[in-house]
Amino acid sequence: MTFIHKYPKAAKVAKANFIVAFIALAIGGLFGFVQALHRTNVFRGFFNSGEYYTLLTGHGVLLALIFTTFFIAGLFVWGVTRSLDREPENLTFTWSWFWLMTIGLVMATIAILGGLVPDSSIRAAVLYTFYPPLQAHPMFYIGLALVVVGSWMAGADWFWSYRKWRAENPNERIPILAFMTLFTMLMWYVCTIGLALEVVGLLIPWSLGWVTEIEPLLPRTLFWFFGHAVVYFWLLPAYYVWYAILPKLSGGRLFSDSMTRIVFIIFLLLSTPVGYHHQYADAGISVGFKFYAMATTLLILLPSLITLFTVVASMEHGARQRGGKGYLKWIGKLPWDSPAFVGCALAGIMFAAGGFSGMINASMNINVLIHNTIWVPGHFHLTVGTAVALTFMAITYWLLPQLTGRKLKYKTLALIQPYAWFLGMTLMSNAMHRAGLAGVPRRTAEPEYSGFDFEPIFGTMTEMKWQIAIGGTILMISLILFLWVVVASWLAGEKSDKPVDDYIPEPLSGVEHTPAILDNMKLWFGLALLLVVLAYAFPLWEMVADGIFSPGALPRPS
Amino acid sequence: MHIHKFEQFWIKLSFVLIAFFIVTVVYGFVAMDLKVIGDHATIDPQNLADTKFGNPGVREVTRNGQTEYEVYVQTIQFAFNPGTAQPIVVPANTRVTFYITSPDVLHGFDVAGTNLNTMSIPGQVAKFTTIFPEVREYGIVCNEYCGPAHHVMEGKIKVVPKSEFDKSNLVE
Amino acid sequence: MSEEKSDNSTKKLVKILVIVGIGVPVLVELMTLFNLINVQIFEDEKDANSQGFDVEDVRGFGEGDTLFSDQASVVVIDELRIKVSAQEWRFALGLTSADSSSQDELEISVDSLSLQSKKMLSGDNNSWEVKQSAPAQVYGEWILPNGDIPTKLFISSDQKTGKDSTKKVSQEVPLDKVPVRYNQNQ
Repeated sequence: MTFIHKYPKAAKVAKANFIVAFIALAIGGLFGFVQALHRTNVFRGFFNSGEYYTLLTGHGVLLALIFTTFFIAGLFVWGVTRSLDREPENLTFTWSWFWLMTIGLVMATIAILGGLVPDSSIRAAVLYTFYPPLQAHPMFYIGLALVVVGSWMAGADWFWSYRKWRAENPNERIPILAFMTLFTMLMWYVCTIGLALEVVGLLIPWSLGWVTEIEPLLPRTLFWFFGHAVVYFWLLPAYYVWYAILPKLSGGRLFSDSMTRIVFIIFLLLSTPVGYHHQYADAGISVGFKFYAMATTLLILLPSLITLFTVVASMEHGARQRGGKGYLKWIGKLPWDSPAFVGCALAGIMFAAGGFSGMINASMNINVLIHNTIWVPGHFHLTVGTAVALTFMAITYWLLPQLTGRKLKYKTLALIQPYAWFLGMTLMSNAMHRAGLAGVPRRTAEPEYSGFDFEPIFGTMTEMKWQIAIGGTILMISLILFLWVVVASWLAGEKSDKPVDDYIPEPLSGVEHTPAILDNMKLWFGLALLLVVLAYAFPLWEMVADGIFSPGALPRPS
Repeated sequence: MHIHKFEQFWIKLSFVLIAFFIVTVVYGFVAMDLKVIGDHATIDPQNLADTKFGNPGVREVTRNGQTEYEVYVQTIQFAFNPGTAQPIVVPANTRVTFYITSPDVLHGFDVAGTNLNTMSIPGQVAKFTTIFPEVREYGIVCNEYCGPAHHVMEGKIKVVPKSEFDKSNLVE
Repeated sequence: MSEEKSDNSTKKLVKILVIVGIGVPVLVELMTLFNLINVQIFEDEKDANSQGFDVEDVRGFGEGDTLFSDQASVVVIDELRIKVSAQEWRFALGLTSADSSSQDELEISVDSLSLQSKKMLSGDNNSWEVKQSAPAQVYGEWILPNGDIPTKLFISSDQKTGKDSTKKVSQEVPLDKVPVRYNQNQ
């Protein structure tokens, strides 16, 4: 008996979400590959430099917004159903959020891909940050809004299950998988307030022509109200995997239940008030608020550092259970031949590296050196592009058998895949970081200028370009391996009652040691809202005091 | 609640690390004069003609008895004005204050390889002061996506010796 | 037996994967670290500016420049621009014949445009052969492949060589950086 046999309805929902996620991953990944070759001028035959920004928008939206959101929805359906031991409460409701998100995704994608059709007026080459006054077709904004509304309903679905479960189990502690899901969604509700205000309150009326002028700084600020927390919306499900499943994959048990909960609570509290750290280089926001955001940002290192400890400790425990000895020798005893484990472990290592470049980004006056350079995508390809994406891919090798009742096929290819991703990403990201230090900008089709040359601190621009192109190619190969294994297993894997060992053991320091206050959702949610008000009320008031649309700029079609 | 002693030690270490970073930034602010862009002024992006941005370029001012320069730059799709058609020429070892804004969309103003790097946002004036210590040329890059020809948007700053600085190109 | 064999081959594969997949990344990062430290400590303030960057050694033609300067009737470029909108990139060229006395008819044609992507754009897909009384102004626009930039023009003009005799003179016009601006009228 595995998940699909116990909860066939939830399995179907989770699978539907995964299908959408993987299609988005395939298209978005392909766009990324084309960009890696175009930017570096290794090959520009696919698209011209005018179309580059359409591809770039597609890459960002399909991977950072669509792949993540749908995969997370699937993952959480699995976790909530399993840990609360109940199928979704009302399948009509469940499927309606899925279809709402899908319709939204299709609308946004059509608006973006319209940019590849000559003379099309349906365009959305505004990148995934869609800063006005660059304007996309209204369908783009409406589509994104529908995806977000769908995700809110998905969250409501899981809270619904939780309430029903609570009514039947008044004295139980919230199971850890459900706890992590619910706190991630609480954070999502807090941060999407900013996005909803921006898209529904400003951008949709403006793109429909109901208002002509827009003040660029206000929507930009509202975007970043959402825009950093969304990073944690991607990352927390990866943490969920590292906390709940990785210890088991390494042969052990979670180190501490209470620290897990504390980490998720800190993320709920601090994820949103840090948004200004994306606006260190913006005029119109005072240095004091930027400093507050910086202090909060650096504090949010704390839960990640705790996670590092817990995850490594859990893995060490697992390795010792498998016969590992010594201070470091136990590392060799970890299951380096298991694709799911290897993917998660390498993703974790890379997240540590991403954390280091993130500290540079966070330090406001050091940040100026690399703001909007290719250093920044170099950084987030380590975090969201590997810590999150590789974890999601790796855990698919473990989840897919549970959802389909079929064994994984092509285990050798599946094993090569995470190693290849790690290699490709190191090459690409390393060169991106170095090029960023020389001032090479991000988000540009042709980072070559006629009036001057970039001066790298060491190495040459040519060598960095090739390193990016080669890294991108290896990533593409890794992605193809992943998709191949998934499709083959899904369609033709051997059917089995127990296609994978899906038992999750109890933590070493269990829930009996966990203070009850950690489960008080109202308290933490209220505190999170309070911190957001403290961080944002005054600067937002300053921006709207002279009129919401003033000083106004006119729209420019993208 | 049970927290393992190693974990307690690790958490303390984490706090030390975080404090170290904050101290580093503050040290940069105070001791090395590494500042970031703050709140300067708002401006109507559709009526820049009536402001100093209407006649962009390098101006000479006297502040505290010292001769300093102010540079007003408009970032437009897809050029720096001045900067692209003709370089921004400033003398070395002199205080230069840049004022940057945009009449159309978001742009970036990044002097490549330095920490002169700001957003140019319609409606907001970015202001920063610097001293160029050496005689050389710098490239200016727009590093915020600003539309289909974003990648051609570039400019130049030419730092000349104080003695060779030609004041005939100053604007009033 | 076969179980053991496949186990051994998996072990071998894992070994290779760890060496390539983790070893190479570690090496790359260590090299970066070494170079960073090396630059910081041993080459303080490397003389980056000494290499100077006079990239634009050969200056091409731009607005205000004169074509056919060694011929009887000279022509001045008074507009040279790429106009970009969301949908398309247009190349705009405006020419003026400077003197009025020597010739009563001006004939200029742009034979072709050479683009940055090494493609050639034929001049006559926007017919632009102008016969006009001097002083004459001519203006033409070409639709470019999005993102492409002309680097060279091939222009020809009928020039007087003697009394009543004209000769078609061609000139290659390498262009300086063409200004790229947003097309307000789109």
